[in-house]
Amino acid sequence: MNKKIPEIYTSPLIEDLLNEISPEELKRTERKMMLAARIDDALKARGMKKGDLAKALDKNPSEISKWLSGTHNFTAETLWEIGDVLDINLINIKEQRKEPVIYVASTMASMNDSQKSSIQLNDYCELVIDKNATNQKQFEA
Amino acid sequence: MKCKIVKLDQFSGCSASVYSVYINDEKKTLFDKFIEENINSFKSELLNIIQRLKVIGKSTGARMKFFKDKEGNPGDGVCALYDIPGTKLRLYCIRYGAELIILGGGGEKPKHIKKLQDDKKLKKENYLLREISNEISNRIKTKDIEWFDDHMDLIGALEFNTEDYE
Repeated sequence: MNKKIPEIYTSPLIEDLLNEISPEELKRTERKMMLAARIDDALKARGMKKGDLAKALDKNPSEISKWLSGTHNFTAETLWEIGDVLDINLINIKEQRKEPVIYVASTMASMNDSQKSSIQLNDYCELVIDKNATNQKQFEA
Repeated sequence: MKCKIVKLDQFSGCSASVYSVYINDEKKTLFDKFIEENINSFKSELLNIIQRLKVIGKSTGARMKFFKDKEGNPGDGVCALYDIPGTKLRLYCIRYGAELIILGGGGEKPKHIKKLQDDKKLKKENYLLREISNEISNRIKTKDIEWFDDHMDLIGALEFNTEDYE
């Protein structure tokens, strides 16, 4: 049997059109399609059909088909409504937490290697070494 | 009718493989002909279709929801890429799961057309894909054509005459 692998074809016509598409345009299209895929996956994960989503949002099922086609420009409000029904976050508006900064003033010269190595940064504080400070340990909130 | 199935390099990616077909000894694939026929009247729609096919291959795969199904005979996979609301250009494909699609041709679908059979050009393009789908199915049954790489590719007799199975 002939087990030929497929011939790869690079189309000059497709190439010409691709050259006219900016990376930003392609990114927008990709985001729309990824968003549709995310909603579709969430529906499947909850065992819901598009008709169930239509009913929950008081929409026509054809409207949901359009949403899932990857061609739709969603409003933020629609995404919040869909997110509420499917219990997913489609727009992340959570404010980035400003972590508290703790300043540690220390005289590095007076610390031995063991003390220096014991200083650790963690997720919630930023350690600032002030070489000119006279006090060994001075904390400011 | 002579058919040669080829893989389109610019659309195929890690999420889906995108193919098209040469018919007889024509120098262009069905999809290249579709571009040529519509580039003057529907360029912005074509650009959008190109972008979506690129994303399907590279990121999302050929999800069913991106297509209108039931455009062919039951179970033959013939479908159309979902139309952007307000646009008229229709592209027919054969979809084999989310991993592989074969692009055919299509054309303008005027608003007054209720079913594809009402338009000579759409009917011709659609029925051609139905025939190609049927030919591929016959060859998959006889293992002349086989799935490869988790259904991402077809291998085997990808160049065939339809008369061979008549």
